Amino acid sequence: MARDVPQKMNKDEEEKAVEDSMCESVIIGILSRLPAESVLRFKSVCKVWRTLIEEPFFIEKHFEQVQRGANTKPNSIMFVNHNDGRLYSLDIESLSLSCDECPKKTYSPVIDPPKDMQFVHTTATGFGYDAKVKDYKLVRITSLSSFHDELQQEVSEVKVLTLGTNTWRELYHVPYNVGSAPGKLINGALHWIDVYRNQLICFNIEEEEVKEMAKPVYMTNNKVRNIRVFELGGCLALVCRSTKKGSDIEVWVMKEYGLENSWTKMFSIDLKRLPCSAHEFHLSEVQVLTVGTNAWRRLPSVPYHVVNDRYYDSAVAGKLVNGAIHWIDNSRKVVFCFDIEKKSSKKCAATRLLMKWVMFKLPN
Amino acid sequence: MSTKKITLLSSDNELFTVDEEAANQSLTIKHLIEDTEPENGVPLPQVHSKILAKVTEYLIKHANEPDNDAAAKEELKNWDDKFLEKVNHETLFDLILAANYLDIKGLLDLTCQTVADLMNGMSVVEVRKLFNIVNDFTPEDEAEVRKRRKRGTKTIGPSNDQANQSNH
Repeated sequence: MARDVPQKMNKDEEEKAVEDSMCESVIIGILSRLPAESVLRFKSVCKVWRTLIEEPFFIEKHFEQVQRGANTKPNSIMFVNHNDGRLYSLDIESLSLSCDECPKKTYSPVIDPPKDMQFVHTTATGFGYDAKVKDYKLVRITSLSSFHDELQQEVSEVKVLTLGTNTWRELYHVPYNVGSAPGKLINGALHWIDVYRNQLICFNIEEEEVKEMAKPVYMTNNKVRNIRVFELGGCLALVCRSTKKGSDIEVWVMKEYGLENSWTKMFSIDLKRLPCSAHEFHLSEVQVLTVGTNAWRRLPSVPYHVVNDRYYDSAVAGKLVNGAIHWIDNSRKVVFCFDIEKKSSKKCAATRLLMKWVMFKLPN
Repeated sequence: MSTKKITLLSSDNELFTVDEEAANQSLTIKHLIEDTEPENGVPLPQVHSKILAKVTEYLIKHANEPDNDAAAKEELKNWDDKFLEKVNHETLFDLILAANYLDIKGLLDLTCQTVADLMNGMSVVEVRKLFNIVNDFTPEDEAEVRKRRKRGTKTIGPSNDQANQSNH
């Protein structure tokens, strides 16, 4: 210990500086876990906090926590509005918008219906954060045709809404129909499955480019259906079923993002163990994350849900909000949810929901 | 199988012994062992024995984190909640500083989250008290904020004009 003492005295000031900067990272660590609305409120605590919160990288730190689900209220985000340069918080469940410098109001996203409504087949949206422009982007792919032969042409319109500007930009058209499932955000890109050719496609949030991605060789060589995109431990994962009768549901993971030969089969689910013979299955994000290779043996305790087609004909992956998985029933234009804890499903008031905003709501 | 034991020395010269696997959760300790191979315990002059006792308790409990076992994960989560239940605010902040200095990600996450949960329902004044922060805004600064807030009432949020335009 003796040799430490003189060293410490010499470097006293240096250590003080290190201590201050450490405190700063700790403060950011704490503040980034708060709902955006509270963060804005705490700008008035002191000058140092105000400066920290207004730093552009803070929004990014905050979004990291939102993505991790560490936030006490996971659906509140922060963004800079380009019209007035102010920092806003948006609760994307109640759509309540606030700013410490102006009174509360409700955010009305630009509902921007495609011109030829009668030709719209499906609409899918995705949501992500662009670290380069430090703003959130809502991406929408509208498929204008359901005809297989027409899909060779670029029939789907891709549009982006940058939250801070609140205007839709039309990017280009693509030859895919991604159905109505929300895009899955992994590694800064949104992922969808082209429902007609089972092609995995991704949209890079920063570059705003649509690209095709390689699927596991198994899915290319075998006839598979019901491919869904998931996130498993931060990795891109695909779930599918072979068209063969009585086949299992397979879960594949791309261990290293973008590396084709890193696709690995994680586990399979014996369909006979599911309690009903549903045509469609849904794995919630939580469940795939918590279920390990052998956990399926204890199926009764696993919070899974099978949606029976007779009640809900939606075939999209659910969106997890506040402990319940939400789907939109396109034919009836209602939102329904499945409460994981109570293991029950119900219809919900669509107006209050994230769905209204994240999923494109068809005008009546 | 016998595991290597690591001795940690607190700022007030108290010794704590943990398995190497538990100690390695702290990247600071891990690097100190690799770099200096200390013989008489790893010196941690920034951590008092009172805090180091809590830290080692955490390290021992989290030494073998379950991967796939949902029940074990649940148990560990309950243990985490209990671990910080009776801790006063001062100790909680000391734990954050220790977790930050010792670079223990799990403990830092846990303690930061606990403080964030604590703050969520608090007023600005209460938060200042919690963090021992003096309000350094002058009355002029506050008047300026009030003025900006008043101006803000006229142009709120992503402008509605634009929203209307795009709808057409």
